[in-house]
Amino acid sequence: MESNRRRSRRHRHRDKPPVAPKPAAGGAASCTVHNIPDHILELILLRLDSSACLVRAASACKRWCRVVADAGFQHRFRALRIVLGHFVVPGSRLGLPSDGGHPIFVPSPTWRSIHGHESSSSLDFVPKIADSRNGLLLLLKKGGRTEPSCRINPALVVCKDLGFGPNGPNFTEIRPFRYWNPGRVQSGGAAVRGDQLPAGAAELPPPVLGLFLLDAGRPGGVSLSNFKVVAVTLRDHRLVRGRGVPGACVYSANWHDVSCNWEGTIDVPNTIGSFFFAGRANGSLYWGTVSRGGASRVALVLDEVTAGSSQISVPVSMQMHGKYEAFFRVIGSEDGTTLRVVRLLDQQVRVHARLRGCDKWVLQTRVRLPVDAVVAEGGPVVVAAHETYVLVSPRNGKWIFSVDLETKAVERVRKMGVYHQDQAYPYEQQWPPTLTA
Amino acid sequence: MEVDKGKGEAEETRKVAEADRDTVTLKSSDGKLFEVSKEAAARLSTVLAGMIAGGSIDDNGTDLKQIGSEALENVVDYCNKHANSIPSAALISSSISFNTAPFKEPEEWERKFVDRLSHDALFDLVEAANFLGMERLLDVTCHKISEMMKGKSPDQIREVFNIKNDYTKEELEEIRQELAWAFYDD
Repeated sequence: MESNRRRSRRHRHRDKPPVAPKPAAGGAASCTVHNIPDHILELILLRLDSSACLVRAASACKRWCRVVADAGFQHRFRALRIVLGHFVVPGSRLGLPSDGGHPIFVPSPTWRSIHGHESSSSLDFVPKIADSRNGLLLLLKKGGRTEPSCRINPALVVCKDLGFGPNGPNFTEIRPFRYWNPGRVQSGGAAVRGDQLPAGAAELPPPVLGLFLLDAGRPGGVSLSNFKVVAVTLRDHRLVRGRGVPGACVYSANWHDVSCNWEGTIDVPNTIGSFFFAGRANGSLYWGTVSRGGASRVALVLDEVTAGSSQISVPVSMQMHGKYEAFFRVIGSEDGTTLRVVRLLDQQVRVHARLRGCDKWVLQTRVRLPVDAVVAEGGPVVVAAHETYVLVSPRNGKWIFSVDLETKAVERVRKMGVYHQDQAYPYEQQWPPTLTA
Repeated sequence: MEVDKGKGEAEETRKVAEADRDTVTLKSSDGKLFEVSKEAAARLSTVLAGMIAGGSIDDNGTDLKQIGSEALENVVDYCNKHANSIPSAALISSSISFNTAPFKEPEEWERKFVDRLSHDALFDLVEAANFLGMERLLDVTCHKISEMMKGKSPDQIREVFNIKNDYTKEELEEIRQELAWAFYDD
């Protein structure tokens, strides 16, 4: 009884000042945040400079969320995809998990604006990153191994970020995959499903061109409830020796439901010696090709939705040594309509755009790199490429430079204790977030 | 004859003086009168500019029934201060379109102007600026309100704006899980 009374008194006392509803106060024109029109609320929310602020404001109440979730609002709000940082993986090849060192989280300016301090940490719990999308990571677990021939036999895990710790995002393992052979998946003690094996699948898995996290076909982008893992492979042509046919092997989030799509409608000429992953752009994955003389003009395209493959011609990469993806990348445009290519040439970052409806490319941007980005022996390499910026690092230098493709500004991002030919995976969040009012 | 001529001249000068009057009188919803520089009013408010050009300004006080006296006082205050401040390039470009043109930071005096306002006065001023088509004032006031949200958790935002949380526990949890990166601090 006594405690009851005390509680109620305390309750009353605490609630009084903030919640007391405002009487209309006689002024007919009195206006509060509750009755301002939606379009003014929109103007206010548009002024928020960080997407994190916006998301927190949207979770204050449903009306604000509705305004933020409106397509028109999201069109006006500048940021479309928020890159919070990069996992830089020393000595790795893009698209393929490698035996390089532990990834290092390098925060982006957005991350710094949220946390107010710079931080980078070695993620020693993360063994090997195969792909990173929308806060989900596709990892190769310890025990998985990569063979020199790129025939891999890994255990895959999908991880989800749990929010930020002091040094970067914390991840938790959410779904293990047992990647054994395209068409065969097992996990825990579950039975191997061999019934969907393509006829003629050899004992040895075919070479893997890359492992990717894609959305499972529902709108809203990759998320916990909407993802699949795709292993892109190259199998031998059934009739012609020495020719390869690209294929995709799909593991859906409900991993029991495994399907293997062999939709390769083109075959790869036998002049092509090898492939390098050049990036993802506008809903497709791109590989550059290397033929006998060096990089060739042919690029392999795999549609993320249909898993159908095709090929296009691209401006040729001039680089004749080292890893081709360090000098040549494919990127999209922010509106998702233009295909672009980033090349490092003559100590410049050059961006070519493909003219719509034809195979012609035009030089769109050219940015000269500062001296300290190029002095190191061997010149600069591309660490990561995005719609709006490119990360470049001198081969033997310890800095990463961010090149803004719109403003052409070159910014020294941070000192790295890593080595040349690193690859970085973005830690990004999709915008718009899947908010429902 | 002489007299008539003089009278005519006087009439003429009175008319000219009226047209040249450099202030307009505005009347709030509760009947209070405010004088504001005609030039500033026309420059800062598309609605007042239209009324001045269209001759629908009433010398005895143009009725603005939607605006209370406190908000109108602030509007007039803003116009007068604006007329006295040095016009800057920021103001010219910001009046094109506030959705596409990048927002120019408020100037020092504008910041002080909105900082001294109470919560209610600020929202009333937003409404008045919207009604009068005063894009720069709308910009500055919206900016001020958005600054009150920055760096705050959803709980703190609700407290500042006296908003009732109409999410269920489950809905909030779902948002937090999906968008964990935005909730680093709580």
